[in-house]
Amino acid sequence: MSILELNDVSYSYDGLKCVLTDLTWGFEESRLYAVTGRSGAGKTTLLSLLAGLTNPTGGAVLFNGHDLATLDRYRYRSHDVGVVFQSFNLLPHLTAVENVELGMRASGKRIDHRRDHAMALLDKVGLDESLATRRVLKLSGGEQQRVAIARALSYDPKVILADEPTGNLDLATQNDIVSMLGDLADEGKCVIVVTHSPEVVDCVDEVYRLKAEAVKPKKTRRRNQTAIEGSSGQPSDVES
Amino acid sequence: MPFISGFLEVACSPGSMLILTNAWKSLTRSLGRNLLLFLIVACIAGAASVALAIKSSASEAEESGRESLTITATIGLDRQKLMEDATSQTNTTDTAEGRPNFQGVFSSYPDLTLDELKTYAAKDSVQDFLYSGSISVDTTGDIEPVSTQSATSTGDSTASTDTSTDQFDPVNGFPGGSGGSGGNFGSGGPVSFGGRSMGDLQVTGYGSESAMTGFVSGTQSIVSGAMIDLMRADNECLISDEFAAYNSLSVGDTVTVANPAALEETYTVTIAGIYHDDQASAQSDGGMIFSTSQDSANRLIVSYPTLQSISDESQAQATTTTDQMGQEISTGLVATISSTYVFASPENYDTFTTQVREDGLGEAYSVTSTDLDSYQASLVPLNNLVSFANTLLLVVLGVGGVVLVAIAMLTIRERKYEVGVLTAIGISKPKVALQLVVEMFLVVVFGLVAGLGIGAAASVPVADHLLESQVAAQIAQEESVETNFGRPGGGIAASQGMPSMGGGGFSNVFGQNAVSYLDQINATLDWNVILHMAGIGLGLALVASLVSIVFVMRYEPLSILANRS
Repeated sequence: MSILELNDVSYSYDGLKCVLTDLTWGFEESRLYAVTGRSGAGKTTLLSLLAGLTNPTGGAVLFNGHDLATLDRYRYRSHDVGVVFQSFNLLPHLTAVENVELGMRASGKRIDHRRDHAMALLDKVGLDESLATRRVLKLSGGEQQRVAIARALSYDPKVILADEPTGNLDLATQNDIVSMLGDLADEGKCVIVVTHSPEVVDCVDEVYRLKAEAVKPKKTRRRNQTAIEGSSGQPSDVES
Repeated sequence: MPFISGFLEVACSPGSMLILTNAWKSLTRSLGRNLLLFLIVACIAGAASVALAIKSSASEAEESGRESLTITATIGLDRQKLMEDATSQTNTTDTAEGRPNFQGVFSSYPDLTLDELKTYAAKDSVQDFLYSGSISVDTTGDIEPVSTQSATSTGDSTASTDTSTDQFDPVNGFPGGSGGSGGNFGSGGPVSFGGRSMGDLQVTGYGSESAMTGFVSGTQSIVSGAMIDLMRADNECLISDEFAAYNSLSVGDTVTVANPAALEETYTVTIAGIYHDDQASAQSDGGMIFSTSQDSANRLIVSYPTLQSISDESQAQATTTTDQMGQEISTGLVATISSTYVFASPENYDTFTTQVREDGLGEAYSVTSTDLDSYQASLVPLNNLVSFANTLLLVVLGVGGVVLVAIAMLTIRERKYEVGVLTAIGISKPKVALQLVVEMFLVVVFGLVAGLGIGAAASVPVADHLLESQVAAQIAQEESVETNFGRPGGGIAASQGMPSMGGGGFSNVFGQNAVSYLDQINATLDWNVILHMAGIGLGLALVASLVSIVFVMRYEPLSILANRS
C-alpha cells in the first residue's frame, strides 16, 4: 500500500498556468523513487505538493490514505516527512548541529541526547565535529547539502523528499549520498528524489518522469526498477 | 479570536521551549541588530522615565505642598466691587462733582463686628481664628514714644514744634499748617487717619496667643516679667524693651495713655512684661513711618478684653461733632479689628467661602486669601516643567514608537527567509510569530531596564536643572515687567513684603505674600514610575510585535522559499 499517493493531482499557478495535470502516482515505503523532468516541468512543484507546502488545485495528495489538505500540514511537515530542499533552507545564524537539532525540536518528538544524535547524523553524512559546530554560512555548498540531509533525517520521518540532493556534490560524495538514500529505503522509508542526474536515476527503484519519455535505466540498483510517466501541464513537455 | 487562542495554546504547549530557545539564539546570534534595537529602547525608556519621574515628583510636590499648606483668609469690604457698582449707578444719578460719592457708599457698609467674625469662625472648615484689635493713643507725662528722628514730638501734641513750612516732615507729618496735634498728620487737631485719630502709641489687644504671630514665629520674646493673661481685662500690658529703655520703665511700672481726640481721657495700664522684637529696629530704620505709633517699639500689647474695656469706657465718655461734610465724628476710641481665618487645606477654604455666603455674608464683602494665590503662583515654574515633561513624553513615545515599528518592519522583511524555513520545516505560524514577539519583548525588557538605569541616574539632575531654568526664566520675566514699569529689580523685592499699614492680618507667620517659587522636587524613580514604564514598554513591544505577527501570518513558506530559490 502506498504511503503517499497523488490522486489525479493537478496544479496551476494563479489558476492560469497549469504546471501539473492529472497525476496519479503512488509511493510506497522501503522504495527509492526518482522524479525527473526538464527544467520547468514542475518537479519542484510536485515536491512541494508531496511535502505539504501547498495544496493541489485539482485532485488530492494522500498520506496513509488521508487527504493532506484535511490534515495538519505543519505536523505532517515536522513529523512525517523530511525534506531536503534544493537551496538547503538552513538557518544561517545557527551552526550545522543546531540546524539539525532545530529539526528535532520542531518535530516535537521525544529524542534523547539530541546533541549526540545530531552529531552522529552529521558524521554519517560526512561532517566531522569541527564542521558540525560551524555556522552554516561558513560551510561550502556541499557541506550545507549534507547538513540539510542530516536535518531531514533527524526526526526519523517515514517519507524523505530530496530536491536535487546531489546537485552540489562531487561524484564521490554523490555516490555516498545516493547510497545513503538507498540505505534509508532499505530501512523502510519511502525516499523520493527529484533529480536531473542520470547517475541518481540509475540507482533508484522507480522513476517518475514529468515527460512522456520512455525510461531505460543504464544500471539498476534494484532488479524491479520501473519507469512511470506523468504529464506536466506544459504541452511541450508532455510526451504521450 | 482563534488567532489569540492559538497563540495562548502555543505559549502553553511543550513547544514553548522551542520558541524560547530559538528566540534566545536569534537574539545572541544577531547582536548588531538587537543591540541597535536595545539602544533605541533604552533611549526611549530613559527619556520617558525622566519625564515620568518629573511628572510624578511634581505631582507629589504639589500634593504635599497643598497638604502642608495652611491657608489664611480675611473677610473684608470689597471696595473695588462697591466702586464699580457706584460708578455704574452714577450714570443715572451723577453727583455735583461728576463722580460717585464713594465715601457715602463705603460708610453704608460698616466693618464686620468681632461677634460676626466669630460666628463665621465657628464653621467646621475653620481650623483657627486669630484676631486682634488696636487703638491709637497718645503718651502722657514723661513717657515718650521711641523715635529715631531728631525732632521728636512729645506726648502732648501742643508741645510739638510748630512748623509753618509746606515741606514734608517724616515725623511731624504731611505739610499743611502749623500747630499740628500729635505731631503727626495735618494741623489744628488730632491727625485723622481713616476718620480716626492717630496717636503716639498703639495699644494692641490679642484674643489668643496664636494671634501673637511675632511670639509664635520667634521674632518677639519676653525678656522680663511675664506674659499677660489674654482672657482677662486686667489692664496689664507688655511693652517692648526699646520702649522700656527709652522711658526707663520696668515691670510693675504703669503707663498712662490718653485719647488723642480727648486728651483729658486717660487710661493706665500696668507693665506685666517686657519683650524684645528682632524686627523693631529694622522696621523703624528702613521704612517710611508717618506716625511713631506705627513703630512696633511703640506698641503696648494687652489682652483683647482689656482693649475692649478701654474702648467701651471711651465710647461711654465720647462726644460727637459734625464735620463740614456733615459726617458725625466721635471722640471715642474704636478698636480696629484685624482678623484672620486659618484653614487646614485649600478645600476647607473653598468650603468656608461657600458657607459664609450661605450664612448671609453680603456681596459687598469678600473672602480673600493671599497665601493661596501666592502658593498657586509659586507653582508656575513647576507647572511649566510638567508641561515640558508631558511634551517630552509624547514626542519620545511617538517618535520611539514609529522608529520601533519601522525597525520591526525592516527586521521582519530581513527575516522573511528565516520565517519561510521555520514554517517549511513544520513550525506553525503562531509559534514563529510568538518567537519574534518573545525576541522583541526580551530586547524591550533589557532596554527598559537600561533605560530605567539611565533615568534613575539622570532624572534628579535633569529635573533640578530644568526647574532651575524655569524658575530663573520666571524671575527674569517678572523683573523685565518691573523694569518696564520703572521699578528696576522690583519684581522680587516688592514681593518680599513691605511693612503693612493698618490691620494687615497675620500672613507673615504663615508665609509672606511674596511668590516663593517651588524650586525643589525629588525626581527619583519610584514604583509608580517603574510601573508606568513597564506599561509603556509593554505597549511599545506590543506595537512592534504586532507588525511581526501581521507579516508572519501573511507569509507563505512556499512563496518565500520559491523566491529565494
